[in-house]
Amino acid sequence: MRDLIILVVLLAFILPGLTRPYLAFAGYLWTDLVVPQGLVFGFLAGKPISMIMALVCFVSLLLGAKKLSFTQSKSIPFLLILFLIWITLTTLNARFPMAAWTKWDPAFKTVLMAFLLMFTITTRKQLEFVVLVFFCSVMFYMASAGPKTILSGGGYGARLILNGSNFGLSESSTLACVAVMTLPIILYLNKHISLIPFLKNKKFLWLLTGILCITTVVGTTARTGLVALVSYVGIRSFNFKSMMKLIPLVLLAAIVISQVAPQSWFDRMGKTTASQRVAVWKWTIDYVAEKPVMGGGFQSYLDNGGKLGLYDQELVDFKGVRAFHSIYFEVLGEHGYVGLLIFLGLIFTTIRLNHSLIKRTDIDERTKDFCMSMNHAIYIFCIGGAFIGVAFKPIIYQLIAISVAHHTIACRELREESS
Amino acid sequence: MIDNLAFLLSNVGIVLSIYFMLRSEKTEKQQNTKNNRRA
Repeated sequence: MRDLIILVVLLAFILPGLTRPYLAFAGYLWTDLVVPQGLVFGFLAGKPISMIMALVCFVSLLLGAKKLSFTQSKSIPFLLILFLIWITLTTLNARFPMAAWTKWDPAFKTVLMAFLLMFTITTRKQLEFVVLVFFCSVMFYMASAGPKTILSGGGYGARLILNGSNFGLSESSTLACVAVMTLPIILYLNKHISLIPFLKNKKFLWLLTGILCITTVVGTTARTGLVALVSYVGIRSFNFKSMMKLIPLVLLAAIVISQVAPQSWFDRMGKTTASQRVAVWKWTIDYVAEKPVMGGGFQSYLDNGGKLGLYDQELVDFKGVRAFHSIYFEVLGEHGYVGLLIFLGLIFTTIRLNHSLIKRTDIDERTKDFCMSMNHAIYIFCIGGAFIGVAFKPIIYQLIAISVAHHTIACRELREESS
Repeated sequence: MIDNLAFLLSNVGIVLSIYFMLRSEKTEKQQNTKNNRRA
């Protein structure tokens, strides 16, 4: 049955997508987020779904070349290309070549497809469509984890997502962070969705999706989720008016958490294992001091085996390895200070791009709200990502691509209005 | 059960989005043809 559903969705993307690049790339975005190949056990098992979708994307680029448009921002596409070149160079120079190339493969594809995605979205309708595909894809995780949390309370290591393993976004801390990142997108869609007219201002429906996201945060019992959620409340409360609007949401979140969360959740939130992460981060700084330009290449954390005892007394007898558990230290350790600079440059430039539209007085509310929702999602990623190694997960690159495409569309609309 | 329902709902949302997107493209095309004829 699941195979059949995936086949229907695939065909819905592939057939019209052959001549519509934005549709084909939205299909790739879906395979990147949902990872359908990990969910099938029937006739689609073992089929390279992601590769098929990538092929469709390239065919659509050839057949629909006229439908592409150049982006208004030149700096972000340039930084993405630079990042692609840089991660390839550091992989050529990697400390653990075999492991490095294994991670390079999905990372390179993720950044490349996000780079191409921004040229394929040329109208506001297409943009909204891509955002809806993004939203529906991530909501698969929340609609799975949310009700399970309500029914069973979730818990550390609980199997909240189909297939349980770390496929897609199902790792607990990543899932919690993405759940919070979805909240600003829900707020935007509730107010401005126009592609599916009957969903506009259906407050109950959007509230339900918001509750699913919050319960997912609770269900994962990941402290990253709590930090991200509190940060989002903080970001939204920058001014008094927003703070007043947010009070019902905070109360709702508090009620949901107090009713749904089991005692183990409160126990886990009170516990701290930060010292082990700090030990890895200290090790990373020392490690990169020896190779500041290139870093150690992908998976270079494998080098910390038996060395963490120097940074944390608790780890004196620990002979294994610990991952970076932070996007910043992940990029720093793997691609050096140059890689970190490009990565931060990408995020900073995107935030500035959205902000440049927010502060304009001649743009409509929809554009402003869109930029705000994108920036809020990126802020949450930056805060939550400080504690999880998701620097090469597709979500941030997709948000960057969507922001750049939106900037191009908004600038074109402004030019057309003024002429 | 919950997983399958979530999976179904998510994909219904996606198919619905594709349908409305293609319908909006078609309407736009028809509108453009109409406008061109008038012009």
